[in-house]
Amino acid sequence: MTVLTPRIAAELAKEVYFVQNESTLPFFLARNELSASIDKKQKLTAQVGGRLIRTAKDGFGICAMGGKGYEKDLFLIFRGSTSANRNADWISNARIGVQFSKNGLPVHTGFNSIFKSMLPSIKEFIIANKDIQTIHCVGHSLGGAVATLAADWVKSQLKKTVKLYTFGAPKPGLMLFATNLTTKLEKKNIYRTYHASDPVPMIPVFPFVQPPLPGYGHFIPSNESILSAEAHDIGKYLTSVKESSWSELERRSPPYNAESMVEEWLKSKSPVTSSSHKIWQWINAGLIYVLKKIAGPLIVALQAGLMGILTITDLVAMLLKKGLDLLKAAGEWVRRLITKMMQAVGIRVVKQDEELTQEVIRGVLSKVMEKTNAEAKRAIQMIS
Amino acid sequence: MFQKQEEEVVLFSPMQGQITLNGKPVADARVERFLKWKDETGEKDSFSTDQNGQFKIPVKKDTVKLSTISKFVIAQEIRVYIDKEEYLIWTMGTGNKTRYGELGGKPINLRCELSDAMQRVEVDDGLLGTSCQWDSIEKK
Repeated sequence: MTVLTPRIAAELAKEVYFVQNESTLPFFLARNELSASIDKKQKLTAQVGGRLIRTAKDGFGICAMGGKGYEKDLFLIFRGSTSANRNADWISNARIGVQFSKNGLPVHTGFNSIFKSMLPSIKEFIIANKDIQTIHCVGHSLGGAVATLAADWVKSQLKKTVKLYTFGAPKPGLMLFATNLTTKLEKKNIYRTYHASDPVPMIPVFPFVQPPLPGYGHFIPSNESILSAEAHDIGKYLTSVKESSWSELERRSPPYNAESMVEEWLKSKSPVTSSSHKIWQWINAGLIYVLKKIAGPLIVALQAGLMGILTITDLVAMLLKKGLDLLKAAGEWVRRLITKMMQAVGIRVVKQDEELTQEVIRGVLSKVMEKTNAEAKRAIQMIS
Repeated sequence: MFQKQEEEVVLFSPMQGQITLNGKPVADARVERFLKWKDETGEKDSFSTDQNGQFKIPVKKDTVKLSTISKFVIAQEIRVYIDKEEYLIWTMGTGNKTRYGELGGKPINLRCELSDAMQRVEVDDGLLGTSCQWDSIEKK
């Protein structure tokens, strides 16, 4: 069974951006990993941009069968937006919503509509190529989110080995989607690569989460304390990974993704400040940690809540409140987390449980989400 | 750093060379350049070869607002028209926006034989298929 090396995966994710016309497609497909006969490949097209904005059709991804050494492999390679389709405003809040994927899981509305628009071409291609053993889904940025949805779909259809490689991808869906995908694909088949200082993988903010879950992907540390434009560039990703193996990249996992470190952080008495972008990632990790402790199977409620009865903030506040009131052990973690969140957004820390009403918790959460949003937005504006 | 910056970019570096068909220079042929970078439509302009099949395509620049969320990519195509025949001799997608950045320098003794098959040429930050050849790349 073949695994693409970090270099090859990053090269594919980069080079797909340069396929802007039908005429460049054969030269992309001339790569060693891809099969030489043109009829085995097909360009996918997608409707880019919002439903309200009329935009032109554009190539968005490529299906190809593998070449020598990858004979029974199917490649699904997606790219992010380019200057030629600059109206593809996927980053905007208006496009951030939740809808249910083909498999009934909560995913990002914008990414899902792009994926759905490409699905007929993917289906056609798969029908035409019967002997498929392994599927490689690859993409950078928006393309990485779409590749993730493609991996989810293709796994449920084909029951073959599906490998997912993403670089600097935004969060494709909610917790239930991420955990379900991780179980289905198996964690070892998810190669999510991201620079610590790339803001795109941070968005949209919680409750959107990154697969693998549990797990933390492949992390490239950075000494920069600020989020940077260059850190999102696919060229920079290629440079970062090209000499490494996946296991080398995995070894560099960030501290806030290890449960023991999250516990450590929640327990620490030192007050938090909002001066570093890392604080929002710690809070995010803390929130996931605590919700897993209190909700467990109840996490399904997160999905139910999306049916329109409650907002996400209401729902999370409700879960935290329940945890605080009903569960002795988990209640302690809820208290610690809320304290951290209050410090981070600069509001007076409430010590008494009686004061921590659902409304107060909801208020803290809103502030945290607002601040995280603002932080991510500031970073995005800086680079967009 | 927080502002969107306007930047002058080179969409196409100056190109000159000779066009031949079966080894013979092609005189008075129309050479059409197509560029796409800011929208899906793109822009076309045309030039022609002289009596010796020599052609010159000037530089093309633009001032754009760059974004990192959307990758800046230029699509370039060059076609040669002889009577009713159309020959694609150059198709490229490039993320490079500097003068002579497409090939990492200026191609020396560029010539394009229309009967040659298009080949993939390895370049940094781009994807190129062309039937043209050159002796060397002159780096700055």
